[in-house]
Amino acid sequence: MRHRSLLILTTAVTAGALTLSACGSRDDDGEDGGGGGGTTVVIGLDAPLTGDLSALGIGIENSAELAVKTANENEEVEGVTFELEALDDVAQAQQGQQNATKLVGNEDVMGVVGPLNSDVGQSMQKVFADADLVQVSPANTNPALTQGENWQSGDKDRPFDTYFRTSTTDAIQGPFAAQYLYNEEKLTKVFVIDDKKTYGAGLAGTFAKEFKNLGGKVVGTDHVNPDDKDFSAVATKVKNSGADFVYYGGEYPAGAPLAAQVKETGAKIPTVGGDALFSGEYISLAKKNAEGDIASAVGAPLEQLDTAKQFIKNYEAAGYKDAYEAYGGYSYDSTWAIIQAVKAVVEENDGELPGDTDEARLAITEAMQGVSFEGVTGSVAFDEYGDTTNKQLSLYQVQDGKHVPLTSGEFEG
Amino acid sequence: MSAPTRPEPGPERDAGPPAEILGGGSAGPRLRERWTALPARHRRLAAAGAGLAALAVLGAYALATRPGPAPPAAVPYPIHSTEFSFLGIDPPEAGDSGFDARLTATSKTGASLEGVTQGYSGLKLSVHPALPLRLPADQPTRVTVRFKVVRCTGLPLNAGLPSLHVTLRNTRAIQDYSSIPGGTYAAELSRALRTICEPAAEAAPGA
Amino acid sequence: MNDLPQQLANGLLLGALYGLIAIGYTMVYGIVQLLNFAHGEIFMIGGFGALTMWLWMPDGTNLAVALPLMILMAVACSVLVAVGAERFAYRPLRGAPRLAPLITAIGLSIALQQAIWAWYPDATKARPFPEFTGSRIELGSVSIQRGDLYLLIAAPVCMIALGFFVSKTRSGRAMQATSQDPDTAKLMGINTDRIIVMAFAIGGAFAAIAAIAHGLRYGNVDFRMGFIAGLKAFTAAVLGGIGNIYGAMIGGIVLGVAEAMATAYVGNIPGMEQFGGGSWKDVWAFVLLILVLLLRPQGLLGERVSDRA
Repeated sequence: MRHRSLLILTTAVTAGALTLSACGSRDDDGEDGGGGGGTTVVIGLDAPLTGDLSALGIGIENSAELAVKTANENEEVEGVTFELEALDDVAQAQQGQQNATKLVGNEDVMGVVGPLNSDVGQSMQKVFADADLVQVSPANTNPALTQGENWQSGDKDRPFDTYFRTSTTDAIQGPFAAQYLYNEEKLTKVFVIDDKKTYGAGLAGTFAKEFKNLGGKVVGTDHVNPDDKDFSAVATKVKNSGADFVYYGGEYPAGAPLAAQVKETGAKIPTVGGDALFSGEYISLAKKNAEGDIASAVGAPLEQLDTAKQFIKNYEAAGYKDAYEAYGGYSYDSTWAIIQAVKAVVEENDGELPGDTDEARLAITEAMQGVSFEGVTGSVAFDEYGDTTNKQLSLYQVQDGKHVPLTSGEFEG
Repeated sequence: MSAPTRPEPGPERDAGPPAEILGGGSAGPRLRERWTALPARHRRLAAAGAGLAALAVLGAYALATRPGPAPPAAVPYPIHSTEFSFLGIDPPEAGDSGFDARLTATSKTGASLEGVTQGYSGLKLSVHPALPLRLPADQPTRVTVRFKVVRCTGLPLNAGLPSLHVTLRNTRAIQDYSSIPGGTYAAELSRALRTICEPAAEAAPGA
Repeated sequence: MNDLPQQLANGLLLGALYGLIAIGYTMVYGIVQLLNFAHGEIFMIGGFGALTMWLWMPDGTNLAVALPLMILMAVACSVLVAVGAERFAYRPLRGAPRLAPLITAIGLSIALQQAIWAWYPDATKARPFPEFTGSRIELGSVSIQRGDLYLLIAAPVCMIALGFFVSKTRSGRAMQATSQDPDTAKLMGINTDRIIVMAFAIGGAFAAIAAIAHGLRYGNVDFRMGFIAGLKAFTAAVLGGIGNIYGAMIGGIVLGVAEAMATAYVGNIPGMEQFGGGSWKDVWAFVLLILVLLLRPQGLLGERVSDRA
C-alpha cells in the first residue's frame, strides 16, 4: 500500500513538472508578432558573456544593445520595435550550437549577431542556414567561414548564404603583421606559438607562411593549451631559440601570461598577435611585461572615424560599466545591418514584415546582401562571399600601458 | 480703525463650516466683470491684439530655437576617403631591371598624394606623375609606380600581401598607411620580380 | 640541452606547487578515505583571500610587507572553507556508502567555483595578483623570478614543519594512529573527530600557501585555477603514494619535472617531433603516472591508508 501511494505521488509530481515545463516553452514561441502595427523583431546575440573572453563578449553585447536602443528611439523602421536576446556561449562551440537552435526556435528572431570565436561560428552556421536565418558576425576572422575550406589555394566557394561578417579575415591580418615586422621593424627570426584552436592556428599559419615568403626565418614552433597557466618550459625554449619576437595565434587569457613569462626568462622580445590580443585585459594581465607587444586589429583606429566618435559618445552616455573593446564598433554595425535589412524588407512589403516567419527570415537574408550604409567602422557593405567590403586593419603597440596605433592598412582588393 | 466693507464680526462667532470661497481670491470675479463691462468693439480689438501678441511670441521663440545651419560634415581622414585600384603591371622587357605598376587613385573629398614607398630594401621606386600629386574629389587619377630592382638577394619572390606605403594629405590630416592593392597585384609583382631575378639565379651555379 | 638546468628548475618549482596542494588530498584520503575534489577550490579561495587582503591594504604598500598578512588571510579563508566542508558536507555522510561523499565533493567543487564567479567582484575573468618586481635572480646557469623565492622557502619549511608535527607532537602521532586504525584510536581515547578536522585544516593551510605562490608566479588568480591545479595535484598524490605526505611532495616534484622535460625535450627525440611541445606535456605526464602505477601500484613511496576491512 505504501508503494502504491508513493507511485501515485511520483506520477503526479512528474506529470505536473512536465506540464509546467511544456507551458513554459509554449510561452516562448506563443507570441506571434503577426502583421500590423507594433511588431516586435528580436535580434539574437551570441557571444562569450562569461568566462575568459567575457571582456570582449560584453563589449559586443552592450554595443548591440545600444544599436537596438538607438533604432527604437529613432523609429528607424516604422511599426517595428526591436529587442535584443543575448545568449552566452562561453566561447564553446557546443554551447554556441545550442544557442543557435534556441534562437531558430524563437519565431520572433529575425537575425543574429555573433559569435566572437571562429570555431563557435563554424558550429552555428549550418543551424542558421537551414532556417534561412541571417547571421552577421562582428569578430570571426577565419577565412574559411565565408570562402570555403579551399580559400588558400584560391578556390573560393561560399559555404552558406546566411553568414555575413563585418570584420576582415585572417587571410589579411596575418600577412599584414608579417610584412610590417619584416620590412619596417626588420625582425627576421620568429618563434610561432598557437593554441591549436580554429582562430589561433589559422592566424599563426597565415602569418608564418607570409613571413617565410618574405625571407624571414621561423626558428621554432610550439603549441600551448590555452587553459594552462604555466608556460615556463615553452618560454625557456623561446629564449634559447634566439628569436627576435614571438608570434602568438590565440586569445589574451593565455597570450598575456605567455608574453609575460617569455619576458621573464630574460628574452626582452615582443609578443605579436592578432585581434584577440587587442584588449585592455591583455595589458592588465601582463602588466609591465606587455610593453612593446604588438597586436593587429581589424579596422582603422576608431578614433579616426567621425561616425565612431558619435558611437563612443553614445556608448559612454549609456553608462555601460565595461568598455566596448575591440569589437564594439563591429557589433554595432552588424546589428545595424540587420536593422537595415529589416527596414528594406518592410518597405518593400507595404510597411510590414511578412507574417510567415520563414518567409520573413528568407527575405531579410536576401536583403542583407544589398545592405550598404556608413557605419561606426566605416562603409558597411558585403561582397559576394558575405565578407565586408571595408577591409582596413591596424597594428597597435602597447606603450605606457595603453594600446597605441602603429600603422594602418587598407586592403583594396 | 475702519473696516470699510466688512461688517464687524460679532462677539460670539461660531466656528461654523469654513467659509466657501467662490472664484479665486479677492480679485476673483473682477476680471470677468471688467471683460463683460467692455464695449463689444474694444473686446474684439483686445482679443485680436492678444492673439497677435501670442503669435509674435511664438514666432520669436521658433526663430530663436531653429536648428542652425548643419555644421559642414567633417572631412574624413584620408584612409577612409581614398581608394587605390590596381590596373596592372607591365611585364619587364628582357634585360630591363624595372617595371611599371599602374594604379588609379580616387579620393572622395579631394586629397594630395605626397609619397609612395615600399618596404623591400632591394627595390627602388619612383612615381609618375611627380609627387606631390593632387587628387581632385571623386575623380580617378592615373598613377604609375616605376619599380627598379637594385638587388635581388632578400627580395621576396612570392609575397602574399605586398603593400605600398602611401602618404596622403587632406584638409583633415596627413596620414601614412599601407595600401594593399588587391586582385592580382601580389601575383603580378612576384611574377615581375621573378622574371628579373630568377634567370640570374638559374645562371648561377648551385641553388 | 644547454637549458637543462633551467628546465629542471622550472619543473622543480612547478612540482613544489603541485606538492603543496597534494598534501591536502593525501592527508584527507589517508584518514577518511575521501577524495576531496573540492580541495582545488579551497586552493583557489585561498588565492582570492590573499588578493582581497592585498586590495584592502593602502595603495603603494610594499609587497614584501603585505605578504605575511596576505598569507594569514589566505590561510584563514582556506581553512575556514576546508573545515566548513568537513563539518557540513562530509561529516554527516560518515557512515554512508563511499559514493555519497564523492558525489558531494564533486558538487561542492562546482558550487564553490560558481560561488566565487557569482559573488566575488569581477571574478568572471582573471584578476591580476601583485608580483615582485625586479630582475630575475641568477644562480649559475639558472634564473628564477623573485616571486619564486617565496615558494623555494615556503615549500621546504612547510614540509619540515609537517614532518615534525606528525612525528614529534601528540596530535601528530594521534593523526598517524587515526589513519592506521580509527576504531582502535578511538578506543585509546583519541578524539578522532578533532583529528579529522585538523587534517582538513592543515591541508587547507598548505593549499593557501600554494595559492599565494601561484599568484606570485603567474600574476593572476581566476576562479577556475583550482580545477586544473587540483587535478594535477591529485595525480601527484597518487603518484607518490596516496596517504603518504612525503609521497605527495615527491609525487608533485616528479610530475612537475616530467611536464617540463616533456615540453622541452620530447620533440627533440628523432621521430617524435610532433609529440613534443606544450600541448603534449599533459599527455606525457599522465603516461608517466600510468607507467608508475602499473609497475608499482602503491605509488612511489607506498600508500599509507588505514585498513578498513
